[in-house]
Amino acid sequence: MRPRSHLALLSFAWTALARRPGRTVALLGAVAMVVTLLAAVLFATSALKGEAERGRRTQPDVVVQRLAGGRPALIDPSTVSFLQRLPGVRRAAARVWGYVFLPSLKANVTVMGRDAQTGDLGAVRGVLRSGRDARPGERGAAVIGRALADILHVREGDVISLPSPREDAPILNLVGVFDSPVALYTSDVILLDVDDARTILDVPSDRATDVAIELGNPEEAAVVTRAILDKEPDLRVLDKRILARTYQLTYGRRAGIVIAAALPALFAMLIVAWERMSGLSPAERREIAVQKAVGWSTADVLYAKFYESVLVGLLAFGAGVVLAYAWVFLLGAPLLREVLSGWSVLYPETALTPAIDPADLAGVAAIVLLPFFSVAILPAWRAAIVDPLQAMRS
Amino acid sequence: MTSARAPLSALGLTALLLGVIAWHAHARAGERRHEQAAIDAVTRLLPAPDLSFAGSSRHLRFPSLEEPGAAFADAPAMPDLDPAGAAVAPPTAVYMHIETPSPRAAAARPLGQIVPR
Repeated sequence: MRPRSHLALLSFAWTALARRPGRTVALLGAVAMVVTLLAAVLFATSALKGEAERGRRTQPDVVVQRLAGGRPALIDPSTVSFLQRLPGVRRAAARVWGYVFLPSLKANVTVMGRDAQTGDLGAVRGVLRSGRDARPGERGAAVIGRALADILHVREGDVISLPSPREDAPILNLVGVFDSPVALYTSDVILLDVDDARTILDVPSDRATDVAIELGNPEEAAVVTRAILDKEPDLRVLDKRILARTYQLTYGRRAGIVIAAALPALFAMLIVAWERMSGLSPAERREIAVQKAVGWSTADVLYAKFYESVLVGLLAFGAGVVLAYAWVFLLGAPLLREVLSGWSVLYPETALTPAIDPADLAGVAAIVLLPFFSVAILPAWRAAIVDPLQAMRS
Repeated sequence: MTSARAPLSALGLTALLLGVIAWHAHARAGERRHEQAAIDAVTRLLPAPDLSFAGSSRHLRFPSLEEPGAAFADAPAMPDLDPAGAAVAPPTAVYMHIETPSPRAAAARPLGQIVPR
């Protein structure tokens, strides 16, 4: 068949769809909804994985924690010096951090102590929305996350106190608020001097929450891990690669659960679409009979029907992808984001950055469109091989 | 019969919309790449670069640190299903009713509250 004939058949298929607008819109809507739901879940999951991946560049190669009775415990100074002396360890930094429950918010915040050697955050564009960074060793100065500042209605220059078992816990002066580019990592964070963090969290001056280790050669992480556990079996060693895998698995699994939960609805919509597409009405049978009577071949009839499903499928796929993109990246994925990432009192109100994997779109197209295209052919073929006179009489 | 341009125009418009999406995604990703220095500066100071989604009963604010080393897990990377991972959060008013008063004497200043300047 010549290309010109195919164009004519495509045009005929378009006209046939236009003659039945109600059926066509119902089909388009059903398929577009299926595509929207599947694509939105994949878009949101890829975006969240991408954000988690962006933060990994500065992650320590190994994090060491102590267990006591199977539960996390504080690390003593002898363990820190043991880790610092290990071959292959370039830097082992004892860290002090923890959670504080704020009764006024009914939420936990993360209190992170920083030592005096860290650089000025204010010098890096996009870190601070307002105010300044704390000076090295400045006591009582805190930089807090934007969501936390907004919910507490505080800004730089205000003072807050945090619940603490210690009576001498310092009152904190807010010197700066984190900006939106880092909101996904800092919405619940209070960054303050390490000694202030010790006092608020009641961590003794010689103890640490955990130890972050940077290796001379990150490929030696497994060797260093084995060396640590051989000497100190009560330590817990978390390799950077294991940490990365946790997030990939978590979001992948949540996306899988969402899709699995939505599968019955997706199948129902597809079945309705297929039923509409494949069930030929008496008028359509007569139309095919007339086409055969005026000289159309069976192949012509099949091509015309196939092009109908191709037009509906491709237009619905395009509309579905556009709607999914707008839902996730322009509207912020309402409902879906909470399902994938979990609800939170201190929710970072930051738009997700698109991270679209063409393989995801190809997968959606394969799942939805291939069955949709193929299912329309069989009834059309059955109608096309019937004798035209018999079809018109019936 | 309708001109063959109509279906081709519809398909072309769809392709154009998908192209606009691809361009928008590329531009947004480029903007985000410019913010990488800020992300690096902050995540270097945090316990882990985990995203700040938490508030659940288990409070897995840093699941990459906490979940792999849990006493035991039902499955690797088990999602925090109850109550996080749900579209609807439990009402915070529930906490108000179950909160027990502290046996300690009242603090000189309200805990977790803003201190007036």
